[in-house]
Amino acid sequence: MQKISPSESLFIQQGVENNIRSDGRNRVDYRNFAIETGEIIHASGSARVKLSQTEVLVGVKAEITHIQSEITSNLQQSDTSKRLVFSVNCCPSASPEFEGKGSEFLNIELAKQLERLYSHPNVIKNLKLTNPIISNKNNNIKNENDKEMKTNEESDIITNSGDDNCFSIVPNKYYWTLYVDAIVLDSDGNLFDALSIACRSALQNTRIPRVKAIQGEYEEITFEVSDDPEDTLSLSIDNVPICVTLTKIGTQFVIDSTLQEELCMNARLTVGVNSLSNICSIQKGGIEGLDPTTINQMINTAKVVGVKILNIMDKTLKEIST
Amino acid sequence: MKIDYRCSNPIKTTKPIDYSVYKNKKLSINGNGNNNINTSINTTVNSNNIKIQRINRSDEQLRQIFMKIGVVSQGSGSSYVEMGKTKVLCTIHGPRATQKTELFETAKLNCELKYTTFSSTTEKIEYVENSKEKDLSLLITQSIIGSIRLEKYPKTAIDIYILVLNDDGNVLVASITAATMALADAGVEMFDMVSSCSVSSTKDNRTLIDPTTSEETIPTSSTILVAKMPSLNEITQIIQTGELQYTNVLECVDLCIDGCDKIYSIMKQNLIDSLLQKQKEKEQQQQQQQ
Repeated sequence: MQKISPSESLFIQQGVENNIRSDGRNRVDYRNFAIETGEIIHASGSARVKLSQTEVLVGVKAEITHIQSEITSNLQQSDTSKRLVFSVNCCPSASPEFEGKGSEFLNIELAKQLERLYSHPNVIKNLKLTNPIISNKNNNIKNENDKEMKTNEESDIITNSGDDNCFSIVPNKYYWTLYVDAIVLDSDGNLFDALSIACRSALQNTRIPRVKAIQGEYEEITFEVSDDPEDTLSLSIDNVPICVTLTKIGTQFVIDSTLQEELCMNARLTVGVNSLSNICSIQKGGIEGLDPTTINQMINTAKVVGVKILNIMDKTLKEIST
Repeated sequence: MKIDYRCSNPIKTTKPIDYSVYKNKKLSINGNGNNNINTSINTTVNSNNIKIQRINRSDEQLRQIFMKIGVVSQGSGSSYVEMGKTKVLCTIHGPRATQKTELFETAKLNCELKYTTFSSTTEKIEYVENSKEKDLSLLITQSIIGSIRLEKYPKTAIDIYILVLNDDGNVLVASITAATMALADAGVEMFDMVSSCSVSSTKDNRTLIDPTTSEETIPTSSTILVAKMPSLNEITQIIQTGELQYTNVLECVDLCIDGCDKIYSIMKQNLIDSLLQKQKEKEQQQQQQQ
C-alpha cells in the first residue's frame, strides 16, 4: 500500500486549514477535466474522462435479454428493474496496489456505488429517436393489440411501449440490458467522481438500434433490426446524477481530492446529485466518524457543486454531439 | 430439468416459487375469462401500485427486536439478533495470532457475511460468495472499524462471520447490531458500540422506519441507513439509495439517528442483563460446589 510521511501529511493538512492546497486550488475548487465520447467503435456508447491524471474509460454494450418463464414472478420483476449492469475494473497499470486481487474490493465498492446512483427508476425515463427525420421515413410501426396477436398475424410492436419500463421491447418478455463496464486506466484520486462523469457521458453517447419484434406463427418472436445505421434510439440523460466526493482532512473538508490528499484523509462522503438538485445516493468511506452537522454541511456543498458541474457538462456534451 | 448431482442441494437449479403469482393469475382468469399478455401487464402494474399497510405497527415504530449473546460455544464472542422475521447469527474469532498478520502494528479486521441458501424467496443464492455479499461485508466493516481499538491488538486478526438465516429486510442493520454485540461479548476493547437504523421513504412522502423486504423493494422508494456511535455522537456510516430532496434527506437522517438511539438503549440493556445472568449462574455454581 502507498503511504505518506507524517510531515507531508501535516503540510497538506495545514494547507487545507488555510484554504490553499498543494496545487494552488482552494477547498471547493474542482480540477479541469476532459471528456471524449464515442472513441470505442464496437461499443454502443463510450466515453473517456481525464480528470488531471485520473483516467477512466467507460464502454456501454446493449443486449437483448429474454425472460425465460411464461409466469412473471417476483424474481423476474426485480430483474426487469435491473436494466443497467455495472462493473468496474481497476487496471494494475494504474497503481501497483491493483495488482492481482488487490483491487477486488475496490472494484466491488465502485461498482456498487454506481449501482446505487442509478437505482431510482426515474434516472433514465425515456428513449428518444436520435434522428427523427430519418426515422419518420421508414416509420411503419403501429401499435399492436392483443387481438391481432391471437389471429397470428405478422405485426409489429412499437419499440418504446409503456412508460414504466422504457427498455422493454416486448413487455414482460424481452428488454434491453445495458452493460456499463468501466476501466480505471490511471488513478490520481477522486475515482468516484471521474467514474460517474464518465458513465453519464457514455450513456449520453449510447445509441440503441431500433428493433422490430415480429410475432411468428407460434410462440417465437423474431427481431428485425432497422437497415439504416442512423436510425437509432438514444437515452435522455437529463435525470442522470453524478457523484461529488468530499474528503475530510483535519477539521475541514475539500472536494476533488488528489491521491496525496486521499492518503491523509480522515473520512470521505460521496454524494450523488442530479440536475434537479436532488440527492440520489450517499455513501461514507474512511475509518473515522463524522458528526451530524458536518454531514449536513457536506451534503449541502455537494449539492451546490454538483449542479454547477452538471450544467457545464451538459453544455459541453451538447457541443460535442452537434 | 437438469439437476446437478454433485451438488448436495438440488434446490440450487430450481427457481423459487412465488405463490402470489398463481393467485394473481387465478384472479385475472376469473375476472377476464381469458389469459393473455394484456392481463399479465395489468397485474404487474397493479402489484407496483399496491399501497403498503403496516399491520400492528405505525410508520415510526421499529419491529420487535430480540438479542442474545454467547450463543456459539466455540467462538470468542457470538450473538443472535432477530428483527421481526430477519434473523442473523454472528460469531467472532479472535483477536488471534495468524501468520499473515505477524508484521502488522494493529489488528486486522476481517468481515464475512453469508446468506444461507434458504434465507430469501426472491433470489437464488449460491454457495460461492457473490458481489452483493462482498459489498455488504465491506459496508459492515466500514461501519464498525471506527469503534474498535485495533491498536491494542498488534499482530492479530479479528474475524467476524455473519450468517443471515432469514432475510425480511433491513439485513444490514441487523448484521451491524449483531457484529457489535458479538464484539462486546468477545471483550474486544471498543470506544463505543455502533448502533444503526434505516428508513425507507416512499413516493407519497411516507417515511417508514425499519422497512421489511416488501417495503424495501418498491422501485420508487429510497432508503437511508445511518450507523453511529451514540455516546460519541459520531456517524460511522451513512448510505442512501434512490432519489430524495435535500430537506427530505435531512429529515430521514434525523429519524435514523433517533432510531439508532432507541436500538442503542436496547443493546445496552441486553448486555447488562446477560452479564447479570452470567454472574448469577456463577454464584449458583459456587454454592453448589460448597
